[in-house]
Amino acid sequence: VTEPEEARRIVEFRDGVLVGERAPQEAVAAALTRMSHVAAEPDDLNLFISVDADAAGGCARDLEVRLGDSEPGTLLGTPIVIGDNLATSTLRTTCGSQMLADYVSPYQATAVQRVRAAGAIVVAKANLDEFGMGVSTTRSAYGATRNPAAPGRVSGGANGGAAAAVAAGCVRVALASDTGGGVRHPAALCGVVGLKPTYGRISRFGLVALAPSLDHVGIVGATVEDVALTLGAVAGHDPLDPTSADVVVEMYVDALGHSLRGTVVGVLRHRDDEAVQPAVRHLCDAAAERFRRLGAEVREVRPPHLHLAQPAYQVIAACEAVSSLARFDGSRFGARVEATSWRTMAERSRSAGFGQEVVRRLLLGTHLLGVARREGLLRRAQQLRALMADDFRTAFASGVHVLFSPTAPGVACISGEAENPEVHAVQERYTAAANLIGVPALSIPVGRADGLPVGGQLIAPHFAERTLFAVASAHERLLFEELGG
Amino acid sequence: MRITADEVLSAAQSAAIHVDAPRAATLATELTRCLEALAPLLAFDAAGVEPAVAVGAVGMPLRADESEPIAMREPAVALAPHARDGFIAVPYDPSSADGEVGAGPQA
Repeated sequence: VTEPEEARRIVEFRDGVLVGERAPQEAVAAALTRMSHVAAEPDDLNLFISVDADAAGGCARDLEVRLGDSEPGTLLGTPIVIGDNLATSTLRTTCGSQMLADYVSPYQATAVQRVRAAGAIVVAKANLDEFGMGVSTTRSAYGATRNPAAPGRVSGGANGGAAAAVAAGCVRVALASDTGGGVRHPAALCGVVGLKPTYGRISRFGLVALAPSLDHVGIVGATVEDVALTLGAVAGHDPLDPTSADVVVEMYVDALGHSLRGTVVGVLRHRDDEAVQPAVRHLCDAAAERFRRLGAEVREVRPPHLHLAQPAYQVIAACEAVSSLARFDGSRFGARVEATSWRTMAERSRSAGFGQEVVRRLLLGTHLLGVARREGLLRRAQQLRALMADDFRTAFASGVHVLFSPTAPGVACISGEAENPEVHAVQERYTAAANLIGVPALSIPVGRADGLPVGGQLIAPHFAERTLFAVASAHERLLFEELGG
Repeated sequence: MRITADEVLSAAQSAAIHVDAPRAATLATELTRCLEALAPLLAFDAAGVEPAVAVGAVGMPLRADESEPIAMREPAVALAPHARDGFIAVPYDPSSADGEVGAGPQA
């Protein structure tokens, strides 16, 4: 667990810049140095797809020149990493795919534009499972990302590069996508904080779509405060994204450091809880006990349909991906394999550009939407989605302020096990529900099992991110004290 | 629930992805395993439940059905693997059975 005092570094560094004691170029140089050290290690973690030291240095110099011209942003001089499925106009956006190996977007994602406007400096684009399809970051066309805590193990996914970059100390924050757990899962396995906000809280404009009704832009941070500060900078309505919400952006950092007296934490019990590794269960039970010691009331909650979240997510995600990825046919973007007819060109381009997992999921989605439509799985998944929303509404209406569960059922597996379908199939068991119903969820470190990070997940009602941060920051401080901080 | 190799080939054709026969057999096994994991979705009582395409706080609103100037036209054309006279160019083969459907202008 990162020392909570370190969380002030973004704030302190910003203050230092404002009084002329620190300089953004110094922060960029430190990040780039750390990135090169990590890359030079024998176990290269393979965190990034693109690094642009020159542009980052240029941005830092511009910030220094323009200092005093306008109100300084909350992330002034903070180096940041961006998941490689968020559009940037200076670095390529590959989505971890050969299909987009040379693609440089003509525009940048709103979330990227907003962190830049807040003074952050993009230093690199992070590795991810191809188009966000995976839970291990072993399914990128640019190689696997390893776990900084144990390089022989996976970093989680889909956005393992972003989480591992924060865990390795290269940067304090990163933006990445979360469709079924893509930020929270790797954050848990790497020992950092990962937020999937409320659907509509952060604009998705410029996020390359995988499953638009499930896709979110999320934040990875070294501490709860890092994430809260960054959310404050990127949240808010965006006319370029019709699904972004016109809801007031709160002062998230003001929620930190409060007592949990009067807070009710509902510990989620799942019909398939036996799949959770005992060490993970033990650390999550200890976290629940910490909430109690901090003044919260802790009670059990058993949403009746929670065990169906992952299959419902898999059906909806596969079906939506079919249309999201239909645009990659060699006509308008990326790689084209020439042929004499459009049909043959599209088939050859897609076959050459997509990796095996993408092909597998596209075939599953096409089958579900075609021959298997008579089985009614998609309709069932959408019905389940409605029932699950009712389950969570009922839980929150009963007085529970925040729900708590493991983020992942186990610690990071060794790299070879990542391809085991049985290991793969259970990883989103606890994270997918929040994507299905659009509520905010935050993965926080709860300890280590045999040196491997374990995460717990907090879930709150729509737009109650402040509640997540309040509970998470109180837990973070107590855990740090327990560890001798 | 299961998927046969022939159904895999049919899905591959619809998805415009080339899959050969041996690969289709392997994929049929893998995808049948996926489908079996989804089977619990058929077991719960869904009578009278309206399906939800999105249940976020803002739902899934559509953009207004209005045409606007395409501000990104030139950059978008510049991204295309082939362009001619300001248009994205794709091959067209009128002798192909599928050449009439979805084919762009002749390059």
